[in-house]
Amino acid sequence: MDNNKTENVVRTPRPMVRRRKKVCIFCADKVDFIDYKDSAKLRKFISERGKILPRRISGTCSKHQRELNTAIKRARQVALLPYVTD
Amino acid sequence: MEKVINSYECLFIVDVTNGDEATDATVNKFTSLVEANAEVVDVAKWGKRRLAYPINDMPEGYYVVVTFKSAPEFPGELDRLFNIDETIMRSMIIKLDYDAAEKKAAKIVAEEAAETAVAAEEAAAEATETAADAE
Repeated sequence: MDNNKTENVVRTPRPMVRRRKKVCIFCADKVDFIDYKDSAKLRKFISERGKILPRRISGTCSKHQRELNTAIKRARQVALLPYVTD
Repeated sequence: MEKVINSYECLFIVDVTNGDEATDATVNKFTSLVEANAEVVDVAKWGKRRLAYPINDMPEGYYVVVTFKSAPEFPGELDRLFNIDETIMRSMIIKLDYDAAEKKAAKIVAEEAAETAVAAEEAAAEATETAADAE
């Protein structure tokens, strides 16, 4: 009768996925402020479509991600970076 | 009350379709305007550049970046004048925070020093060469 009992089911432990710890490259380089005019550097932090990469992909710390956001948005205003690319 | 002086950086894009002379005239008009009203730290003319996206259906523009120190009233006035001038395609004035402004000024000084050092070295090398030739 008690077919639905799950207590006796032995679960195989999931294999541990070891992820390499990302280090914020702005912290590593000891950057004072992120310059919106340096479009070559900012280009590394936008996707192919021109969207700003999230922290979980770029690995930047929250402080520098905030500064990066303003820098990219400023660069877009003065046509150094695209808003969209198709 | 103490006079407030802030550091600003203004970037403007000049229309290049009217020819080089007209572009230069606009660039000079605004750089001299800033010089007259503020203490100019640096003027960087990037020259003609491709825009990341067309502005007013134009693919290119002449970029100028001016760093200056002034009272907080001036940037507003400058922005007003930028908007009136039709040959200015885009402009942006940002306030630099204290540390960034100091570091930028220091960097410019260092670059100039490096340039003069290189020039001096070249001159010295030439002098020794000519001395060797004379012998």
